[in-house]
Amino acid sequence: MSATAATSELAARHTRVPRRPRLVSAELLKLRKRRGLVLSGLALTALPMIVAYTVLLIVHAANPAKHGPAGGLNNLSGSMDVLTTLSGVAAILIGATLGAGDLGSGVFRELVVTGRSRLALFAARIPAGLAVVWALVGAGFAVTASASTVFAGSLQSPGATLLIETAAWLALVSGLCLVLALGVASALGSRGITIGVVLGWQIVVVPLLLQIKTLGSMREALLGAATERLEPSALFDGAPTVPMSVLAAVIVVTAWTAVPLAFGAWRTAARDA
Amino acid sequence: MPSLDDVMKTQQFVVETSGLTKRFGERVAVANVDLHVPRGSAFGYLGPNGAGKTTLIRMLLGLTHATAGTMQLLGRPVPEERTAALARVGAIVEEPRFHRHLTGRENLTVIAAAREPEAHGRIDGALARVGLSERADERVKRYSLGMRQRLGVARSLLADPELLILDEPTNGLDPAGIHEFRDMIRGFVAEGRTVLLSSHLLDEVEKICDDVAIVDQGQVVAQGPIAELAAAGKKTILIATSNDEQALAIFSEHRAVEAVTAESAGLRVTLDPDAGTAADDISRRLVLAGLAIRRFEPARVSLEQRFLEITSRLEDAA
Repeated sequence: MSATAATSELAARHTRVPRRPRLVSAELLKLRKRRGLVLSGLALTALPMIVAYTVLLIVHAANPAKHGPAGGLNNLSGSMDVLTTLSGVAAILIGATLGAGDLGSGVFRELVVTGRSRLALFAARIPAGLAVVWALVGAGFAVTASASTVFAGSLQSPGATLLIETAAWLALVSGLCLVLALGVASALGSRGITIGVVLGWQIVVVPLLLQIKTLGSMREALLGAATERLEPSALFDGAPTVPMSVLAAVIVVTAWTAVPLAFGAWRTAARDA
Repeated sequence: MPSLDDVMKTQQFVVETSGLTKRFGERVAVANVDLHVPRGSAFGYLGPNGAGKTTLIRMLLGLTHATAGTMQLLGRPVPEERTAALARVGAIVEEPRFHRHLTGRENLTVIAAAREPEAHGRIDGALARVGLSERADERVKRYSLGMRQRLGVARSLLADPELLILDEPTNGLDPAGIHEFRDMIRGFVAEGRTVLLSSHLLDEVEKICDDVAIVDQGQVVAQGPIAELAAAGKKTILIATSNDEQALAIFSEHRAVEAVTAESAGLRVTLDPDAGTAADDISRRLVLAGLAIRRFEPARVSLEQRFLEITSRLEDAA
C-alpha cells in the first residue's frame, strides 16, 4: 500500500461518522443506568400486559363457556386502552428525568463548561428519550400483539395492517408524552413538578375538558382530541369525542410537539447554568 | 504564516477582561474588572467570601451573562467564540457535581461526549493522573468529597487544557488532600498549562501561585506577581544594635518611621512606603551615634500582611 493510500485511509477512518452520535449515546447511558426508572417503565408497559393476558388465559381455561379466549380484536382494543395510558405515564417519567436530570444533579453546568452548544445538549435528549420509551412501549406492545393473535381462538384476530397501525399510533402517543414532559422539564428545571403538572394535565384535565361539550371546537386544540382522531378506527367504538379532520389533528399534534420543544430549548439556551 | 494555534500560544495572557461587570438588580457582584492572567503561571484570584470570585469565573465560562465589559479566553473573545475558546479550558466551579448513579468512568464518558472525539481517549489517563483508576468503576455516590474533587480534576483534563480554572478547589479537603492538590497544580504549571485558582485562603494562594489578583467587593484592588505585590507595601526592616534603647530614640525622631515594635531578636521598624532612601539614612544615623549594627535586613512581608494592609486601607477610605 502506498503512503498516500494509507494516509487517505487513515483520514477516512478519522472522519468516519459515528454510528450513534456521542451526545445521544451519553444521554442513553444516563437513562439506562437509572435502574429504578427502567424497571418502573417495564412495570408500566410490559408487566400489566403480561398480567392481563395471564388472567384472561386463566379465566378462559377455568370456564371457557363464560369467558371467551384471551386474544382477539376486542381484547386487543381493551388492552391498548390501558397500554396507551400507562405508556404515556412511562414516557412522562422518562421525559421529566431527561429534561431535568442534568439540572437536578448539577451536571448541566459541567456540560456547558465544555463549550458545547446548549441547543445540541438539548437536542440529544430527544432521540435518546424516544429510543428508551419506544423500547419499553415496544415490549408492552409485543406482549399485547402476540397474545391477541396467538390466543385469539375462535375470535377474530387482528391483522398485520392493524397491528402496524396500532404500533405506530402507540409510538406517536408515547412520543408526544415524552416530548411534552421533556420540554416542560427543561423549562421548569424540576423533575417532580414536571411529573405532577404533565400527568395531571394529561390524565385528569384533558379527559375532563374533552367531555365539556360547551367548549365546542376549542377542544380540537387539545392533544387528546387529536390523538384520538388518529387512533386506528378498529380500536374504538363509536365516533371520536371531538369530531375533527385528520389534517387538523396532524396540525394539533405538530403544534404540541413543536411548542414544548421550542420552549424547552429556549430555556436551556438562556438559563444561568 | 503562523497558524491560529501558534498565535494563541505566543499570546502573553490567557485570560483578559476589560471593564467586566455583573449586576444582580441593584447589587454589583463584579465591578469593572480588568484582569490579565499570564500564560504558563499559577494565578490566584484572591478575595474574601462574597467578593465576586465565583461570579467572575461563571462569566468567563459562559455560565452567566456579563452585564458589561469584554472578555477573552486563550485569545478568543467570549461569548462570541465561546465554543472554540472553551475547547482547551478545563474548569471546576464550586463543588464538582456528577450523576451519582453513574460510575466515575461513566461520568467522564458523558462529559467526553460533549467534547472533541479525542477526549474519550483521555479518560483512562486522566483517571490515572488523579489516582482514581482503581475505583473508576464504582458509582460516584460512594465517593468521598476528596475523590469527587479528584474526579473533577480528571474531568477537566479531558480537554487537554491550556487553561485550568479552579474555583475554591481545596474546600472540604483534609490537610493531606490539600497538600496533594497543591502538588498537582504545580505539576500542571510545570507542563506549561495555566491555572487560574480562586480562593479565599491567603496561605493557599501564596503557596501555590506565582501571580495574584486581590479582589474585594467585586473590584480587583491589586494584581501582579506575588513577590512584587508583597514588596510594594510598607517597608519593614529588622534591626538589632548594641543599644536598642538608644536606637529607639533615633527612630522616634525620624520622619519616615511609622512604627517600631520590639521583638526578642531586635526591633521591627516599619517605614513609610514613599520614604525612598530612608533605610540608608537610618543606618547612617545609627553608625554616627556610635552604635554597632548587628542586624539590618528587610523583613519578609507575607501576602497576608499585604492583603490586610490593602483591605484595611479600603475600609478606612470607605
